[in-house]
Amino acid sequence: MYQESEIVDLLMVLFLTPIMVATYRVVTVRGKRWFALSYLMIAVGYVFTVLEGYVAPEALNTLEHVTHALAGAFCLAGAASIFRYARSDAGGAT
Amino acid sequence: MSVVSFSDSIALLCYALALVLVLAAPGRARSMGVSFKFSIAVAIALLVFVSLSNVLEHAGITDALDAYEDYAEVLFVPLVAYILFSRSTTEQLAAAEAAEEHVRREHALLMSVVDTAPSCIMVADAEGGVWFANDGARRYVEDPGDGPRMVLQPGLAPVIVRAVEGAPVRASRRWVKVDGDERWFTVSASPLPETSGRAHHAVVAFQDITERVAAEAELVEYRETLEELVDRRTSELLELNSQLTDASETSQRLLANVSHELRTPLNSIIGFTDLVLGEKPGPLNDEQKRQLGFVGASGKQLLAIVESMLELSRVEAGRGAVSLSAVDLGAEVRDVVNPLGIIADDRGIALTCSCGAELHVHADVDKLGQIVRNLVTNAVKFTDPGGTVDVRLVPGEDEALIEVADTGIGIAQEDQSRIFDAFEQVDRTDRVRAPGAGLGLSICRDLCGLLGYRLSLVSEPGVGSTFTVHIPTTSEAAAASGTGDVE
Repeated sequence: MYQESEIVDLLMVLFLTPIMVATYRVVTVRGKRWFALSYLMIAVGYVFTVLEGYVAPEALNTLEHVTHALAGAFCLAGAASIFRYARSDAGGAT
Repeated sequence: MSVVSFSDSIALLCYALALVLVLAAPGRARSMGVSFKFSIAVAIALLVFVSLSNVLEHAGITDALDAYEDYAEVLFVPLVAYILFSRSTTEQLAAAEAAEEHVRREHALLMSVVDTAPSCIMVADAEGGVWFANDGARRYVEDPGDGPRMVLQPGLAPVIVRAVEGAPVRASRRWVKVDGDERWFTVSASPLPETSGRAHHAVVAFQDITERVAAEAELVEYRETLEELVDRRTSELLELNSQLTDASETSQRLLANVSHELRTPLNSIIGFTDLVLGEKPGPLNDEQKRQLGFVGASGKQLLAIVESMLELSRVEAGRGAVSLSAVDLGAEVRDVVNPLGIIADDRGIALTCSCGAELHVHADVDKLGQIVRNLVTNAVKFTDPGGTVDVRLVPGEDEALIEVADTGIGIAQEDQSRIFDAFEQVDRTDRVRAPGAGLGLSICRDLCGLLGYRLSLVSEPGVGSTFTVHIPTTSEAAAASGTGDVE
């Protein structure tokens, strides 16, 4: 079975993501591709969370946590990129 | 450790490290910004919390955080959307500010250019209302109370109306009254399109050219006066030239006639003097012979001068017709020089002729002979006893040279240009040394000109002089030498 909060999460992803994609194209954030991949992994994880209530609960649960791990790795890459660029932009060591 | 626990641990570790890196990044960096930095930090902190909750739950430590995990997950997506939109808005604001600053600078530049332009520039409507005027144009703007208006409106109105109607006007000259004065303006105007597409205003550029128009009129008047003056002066010069030509011809005729009339009695004087000296009428004593010798010598000298004047007259009148024939130049020069050896011997001067080379050219024998004779006689006349006069023939590729070199008194540089003029001698006080009228070199110059030869002189006072006749030996050289010249 699913929880109401999981459905809310999924709906927000479905409604806000298309708008965010349009905005994503115009912003200039260093490492934004890494953050986008991280967000995508989290969104996929939400899908797995909802689906595990209906089919293959163990496998989909495992996949959900794997996507979280991948999201973390991508987020770390994005944060490292921001850190490096911000330091060089501020005149610090690169 | 299960895959789920491992994944949660990895996620926790990565999010935690990412949070540290974001918090450590300098917030003062232009690419970062403090609010952006902390927004991202909050979003990552939510994920750290979710991961920590999962790790604790699956490790069997506690599931107390699980109740709050849902809140964190619900907050995450709107928070990311907020971060993205606020970042986008911030960047657009910065771009708008930069664009505004750029426009402000461009406007300031444009205003500087327009204000410093020598022309008066306005934006006006068809009724004369002024929307804009640069520094130069402001003195033609007045404000009677219903807004600024052009004071030139009556004169420039047709141009502005045409421009507003869509027909640009370029450099039209207008006669306009300004404060009672009538002045000339040059005017250009273009329609100023507005957002509706239809022009209600025109950009008008004008300049007061009254002084320029007056100067142009003055110039035209001056040019006409000048042309008239030049015509009048040309007529006067032509008349004067005609009178001078007539006078010159009369002078030459007079010279020729006088010379001719003098020759006949002179020949009689010389002839009868020789007859008396030959003691045909009767014997003479020594004193009588000496005095009659003076008469004979003076008569011959006078006859030579008369002959020279006649020759000069003929050459200057162009009556010396050139008669060319193939001649051996060396032989001709020798034939002229050898008889003059007697005169040189009388004066104690060594006259030599180095003209052994055989060189055939087309030349006028009589005139060439006269040139050489005059040059040699001149050299002998101005060389002291004991000196030398050497006549040399130097064959060349394009021209042959006849050089007459003496060790005479020489000619100073400042005198060299005038010794070829008629009746000119360098030292006119030394008439005993150089009797004659000073016509020999003048005749040489004229004859060289007639034959297409060139006559040059190298001389140094006290050392001697060398006169050189340059005779072209090829048709190309002859054409290049033209009518001859003296250097």
